[in-house]
Amino acid sequence: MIYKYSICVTLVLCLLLPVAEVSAQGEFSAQLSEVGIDANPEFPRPGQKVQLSLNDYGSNTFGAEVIWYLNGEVVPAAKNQRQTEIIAGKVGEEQVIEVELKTSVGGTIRFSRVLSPVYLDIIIEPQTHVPAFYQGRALPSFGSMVNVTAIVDGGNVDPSSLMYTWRVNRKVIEGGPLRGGYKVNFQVPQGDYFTLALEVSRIAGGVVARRAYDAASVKPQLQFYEYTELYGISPLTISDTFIPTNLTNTLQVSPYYLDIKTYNEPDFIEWKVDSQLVPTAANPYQLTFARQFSTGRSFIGFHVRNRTQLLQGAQGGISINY
Amino acid sequence: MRKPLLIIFALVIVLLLIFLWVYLLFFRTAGPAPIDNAPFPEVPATFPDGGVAPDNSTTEVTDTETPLININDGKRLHQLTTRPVSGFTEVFTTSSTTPTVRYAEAGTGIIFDIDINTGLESTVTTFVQPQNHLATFSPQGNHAVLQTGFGKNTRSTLGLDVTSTNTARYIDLPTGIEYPMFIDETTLIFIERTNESAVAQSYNIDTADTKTLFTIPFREAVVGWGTTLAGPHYAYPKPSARLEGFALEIINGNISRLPIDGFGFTMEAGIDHILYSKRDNETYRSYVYDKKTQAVEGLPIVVIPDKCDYGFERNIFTCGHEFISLDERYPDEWYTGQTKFNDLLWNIEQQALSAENLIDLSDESGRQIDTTGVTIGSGHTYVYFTNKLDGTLWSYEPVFEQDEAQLNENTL
Repeated sequence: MIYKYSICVTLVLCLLLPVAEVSAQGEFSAQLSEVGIDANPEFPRPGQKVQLSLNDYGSNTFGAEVIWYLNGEVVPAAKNQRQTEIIAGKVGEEQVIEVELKTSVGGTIRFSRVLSPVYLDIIIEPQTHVPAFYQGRALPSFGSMVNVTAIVDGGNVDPSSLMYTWRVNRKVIEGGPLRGGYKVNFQVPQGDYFTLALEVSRIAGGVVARRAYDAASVKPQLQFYEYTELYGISPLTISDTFIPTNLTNTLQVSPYYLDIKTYNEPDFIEWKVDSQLVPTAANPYQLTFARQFSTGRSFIGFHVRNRTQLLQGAQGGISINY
Repeated sequence: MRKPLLIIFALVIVLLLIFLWVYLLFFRTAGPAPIDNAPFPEVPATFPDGGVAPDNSTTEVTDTETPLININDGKRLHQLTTRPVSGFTEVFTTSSTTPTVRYAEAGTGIIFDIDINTGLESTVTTFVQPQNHLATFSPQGNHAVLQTGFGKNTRSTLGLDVTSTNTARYIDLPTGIEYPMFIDETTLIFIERTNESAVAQSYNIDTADTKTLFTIPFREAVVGWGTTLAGPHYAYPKPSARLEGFALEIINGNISRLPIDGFGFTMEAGIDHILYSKRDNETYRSYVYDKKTQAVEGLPIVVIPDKCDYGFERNIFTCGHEFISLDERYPDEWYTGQTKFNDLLWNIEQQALSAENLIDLSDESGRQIDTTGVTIGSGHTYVYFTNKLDGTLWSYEPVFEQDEAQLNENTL
């Protein structure tokens, strides 16, 4: 009998303990236990929907009344719900989320969590080739270098006051957190995608934001364009067949997403006309040829490759109708 | 003469006449017979992909030329040039209410004027910049920046007083400047890229003073200029369907992040609204962001905002775009030149979230037109654009429903 009584007293005391702590402070604060409210995403962007879940499997709250608070105000729609959704506030606006559990035996448990919405943007700047007129960004390809830049809140936070931990497919860049290391570069690993993850924290401690990013890694690909002395490279690709109209015609090939080092110093590059090798010009990505006056069809092939990094290369061709 | 001989002679004559008649009827040809192995006829050089050949006469200075366009044909769509164009602006002379279009010819940088009222074209300057691909004019058309080359190799020439060959003077600007734009007749703004950033600069053409306006902390930035030095200006990473982008707003040098982002992100800003497009799962979609309420609404059509311009007078966007859905490969496929659109012109009213089709350019012109450089003229009277497929310059005179309603009311 005494044994059962002591268990009941212990349980009641356990339930009352958090309430006593809150009462002593006179207000809810971030010092309350943050264990118990899960946020998804954990570090939301301003204006982003955030899924909040009550995680109290460790405590005895069966049958308890659940009341959610946002910045001290009751969220009526979330009454007795174990999950709710809020919209993250503006940059720099803290949101205090609290859950109050009123148990059937009269006890109260409170959990709280503070959300500080932040923009953490990662800009990927692959060091691969795209033609100069191309208005878009190049894409990474296996073995090429990539420069990445992290920007917190549009650049309004001094990066030297933060620690940056970068991971590429779980491998930590430079072996650990970098003070002010908002810009790093790395070589693209093998695979169609690589995961780039970043954790930004304060020097004094505390995570500001985390982001993980699945970035595409593509194969270099060729596009053929007409080149004229007057206009330079045409902005329109030659899809399959080129019909020359000038007496002398120049084709320019653009190996999109080829590592810029391979593009600048290719150790294998060749043009072929009807399977016959033709000498490369001063600009090895251009081929000049005279129009044939008889009707016919030729096939022009191009191949560029890095012999030590065989996936850094591209091969293709187009037909020419005379 | 004996009678049989006469009969024989007459028969021979008759046979000869019959032979001649048969020959003329069946074997006569219209002209001389073709000569074997005749040389292949010369074909004039054409601009890539079926455009119009550059007019070599541009190097010969003439004050005025024969009108190229028939203005009084009752149509609202006109092809203004047969030459490919690298940049243009609308210029108003004091004596006329109809504008003149001042443009630079791609490939040479020679500047011409076209009188929209008469269609007469005249050569303004004869300075030649080989492989010129971009020209930017000051608001009143007095000055211009001509560019050749790309990226770090971009060579820019500032043309001062380019209103005639006699007054024009030329200054070389630093290499590598991008996105040049005149804020007014004396201030030029542009971007210079460093290894790690994109730096916005202003350049006073009278004093040659250069000032840094702001620095974007990454290199591959696209900049959309505002109408004053203070801004708001906008910047975003160069778009890619497979990389994320986002919008930055810059006011008085202060950069703030706007809550719009996504893969393939590209945008065009108005006063209170921003038109932007991004990848949405397997499609490319367009949205309007309200800067005051921060609300985002989807548009009923998809556009690539690079093909749009914002009209301040009427507070609407005008875009050129084909009426089709786009998949997740855009805008990359258009940037590479693989996709060639067949455009219509649209007015997009951001508050009503409606898209009004103004004209089917192909139906009207009988040509495939893939619009670039869409520019709304003063008072939204004309919309100008170039055709990416041949570089030619076009104008369209839009009709607005409220104007028509007002006109009908006045008539009644």
